[in-house]
Amino acid sequence: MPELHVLMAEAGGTRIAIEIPNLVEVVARPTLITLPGSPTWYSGYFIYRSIPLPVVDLGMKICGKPVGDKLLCNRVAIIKAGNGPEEFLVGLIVDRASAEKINCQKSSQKISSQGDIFLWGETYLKDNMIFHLLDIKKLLSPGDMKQLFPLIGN
Amino acid sequence: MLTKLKFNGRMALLAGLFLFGMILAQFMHWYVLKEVQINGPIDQKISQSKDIIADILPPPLYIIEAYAVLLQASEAKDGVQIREFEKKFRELETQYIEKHDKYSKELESGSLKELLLKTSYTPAMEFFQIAKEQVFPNLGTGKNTVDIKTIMATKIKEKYEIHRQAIDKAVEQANDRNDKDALYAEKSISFWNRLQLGFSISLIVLILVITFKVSKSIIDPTQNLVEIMKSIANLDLTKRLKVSTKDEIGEIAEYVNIVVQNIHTVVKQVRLSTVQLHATGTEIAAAAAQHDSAIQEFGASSNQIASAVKEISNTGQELMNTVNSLRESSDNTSALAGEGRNSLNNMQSSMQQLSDATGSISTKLDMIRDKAGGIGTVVTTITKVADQTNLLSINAAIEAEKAGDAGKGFLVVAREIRRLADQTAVATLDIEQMVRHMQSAVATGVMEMDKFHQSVKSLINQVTEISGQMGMVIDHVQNLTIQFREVREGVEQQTIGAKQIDDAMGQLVTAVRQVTASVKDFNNTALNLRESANSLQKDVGKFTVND
Repeated sequence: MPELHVLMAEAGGTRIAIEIPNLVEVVARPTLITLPGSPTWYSGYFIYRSIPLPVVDLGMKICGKPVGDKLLCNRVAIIKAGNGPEEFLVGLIVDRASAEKINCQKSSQKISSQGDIFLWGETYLKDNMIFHLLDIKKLLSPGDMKQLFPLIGN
Repeated sequence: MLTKLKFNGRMALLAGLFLFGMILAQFMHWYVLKEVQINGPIDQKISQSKDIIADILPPPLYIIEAYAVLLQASEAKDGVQIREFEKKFRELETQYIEKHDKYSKELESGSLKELLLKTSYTPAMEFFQIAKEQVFPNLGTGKNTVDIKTIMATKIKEKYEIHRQAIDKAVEQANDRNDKDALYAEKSISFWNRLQLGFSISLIVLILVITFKVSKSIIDPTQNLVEIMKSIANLDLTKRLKVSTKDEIGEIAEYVNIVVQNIHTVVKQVRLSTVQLHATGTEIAAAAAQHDSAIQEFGASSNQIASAVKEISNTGQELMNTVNSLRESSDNTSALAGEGRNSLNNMQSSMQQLSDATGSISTKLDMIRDKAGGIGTVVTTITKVADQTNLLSINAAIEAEKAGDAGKGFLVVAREIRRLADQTAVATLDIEQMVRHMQSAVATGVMEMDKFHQSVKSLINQVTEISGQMGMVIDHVQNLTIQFREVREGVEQQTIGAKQIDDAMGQLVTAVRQVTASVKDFNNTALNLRESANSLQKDVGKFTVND
């Protein structure tokens, strides 16, 4: 049984897990500044430690359903994104976030719905409940990163 | 015997009897006249008897007996004997006078009356006068005896002789008169006998002629009538009598013609009617068959109706029981309604108290709602603290992971903080939910209490209205009790009526059965009628009539 130290949360009705080493910090959801013409999954940005930090609605990103606007429960998990030598901080809006250390087994059950969710992580089973271990490297494509950080590569 | 004779025989018998009677009467008349005629056997006997009497008795109108008595008295010596003779003398005088008076009235005037009532009467009366005055006063005295004899020989004898001569002449005249009367009577009888004989013969001849004529006038039309009646007896109604007289036979012939004509008309009409009767009989038979089937259906329907009426009767009985129960229920309801009105009055006062209490509770609930709002603020604060604590524990766990083995102790602390934060969050969430529930409950309670308060007010009004309505209901229920009693009487009468209908239906069913039997009889009668019409048509066809 593998032992995982993750941040367990919900996004778009789907339970996801983000490994703690991929996290920088978890903050309460601040007031976001939206940008016109941005994708639906791009919720806006806020000033994190004196730098503008883009925030992605993880629900919209992985399954097309927004996380929602629950003032007391929404969290923004700040992760390090990017496959290149440069890493950029990106905020992910999640819900019901909690740090947990769990022993779980990979689900042998084949799930054929939820779009291309499986590109972003493996599926596990815990306490008869399925969750997806989010693969941060595959979450945002270079195009997504270009939209989040227009100055990349310039 | 007489009925076996024809008219000819009857008329001949009548004429013979009449002729025989006439001859017999003539003979009897002749015989009687012969017997009673003057000097006939009877007259001779009567005359002989009168002669004998006249020969035996002294004639009253002839004073010979008075003269004899006077002579005997003149010779008598005894005074008593003389008085007897004088008495007898006076009686004879009286008889003479009576006879004289009688013939004075009866005799017709003539010489005989002159002789008998005057010529003989005067000396007779002088005779009686002399005897009474000169003879009887001196008899028995012994005096004047010579004078008496002289008077008797002279005056008395003289008067007597005159009287006797007059009587002799009267007798002669009476005999002459008798002879004349006898001759006249004989001639008269002979005349009337001949006259009567001639009249009788003429009458007989006349009667025979008339009888012949009358017989002929009766017999000829009668024979004609018999001939015609024979034709009628042979059902030939085309012949008629010839009416030539205006007597009874003529009238009979006329009426016979009328009767035959009427029979002729009736027979023709009967022929037509027979055809119609035959057709009618056929129609009646068909109608009777239809009636039979209709009556059968009617009988079935009557049975169904009878059973239905019986069910109605039973239902009416049950209905009456139900009405009785309803009446009892109505009485109970009336009592309960009265109790209910009292209860409503109590409830009205209780509702008023409840309204007051509800207002007080509503005020206190407003206070609780304000307090709950304060609790919500605290809970929000606690929630934020718990949220921050949760966030802190997550970040502490992240930092401990980053620190590697050095951060393991810190990771434990971070987990405990997270667990406390979770417990706090859960408790806070519970509190929040409880407070929200409480707020919601209080708000709902306030609203409900307001509604309840309004409802109570409305209820009070409704209870007031209901109390009034209950009073009306009680009145209605009490009226219902009376109406139920009337309904019960009506239902009872209806039940009796249904029973009567049931009985009537029973009678109707019986009547229908009888009608069914009657219709069958009628059907048979219709068939018989048709057969009778056929028979009548055949019989009527035997008559000969003009078309």
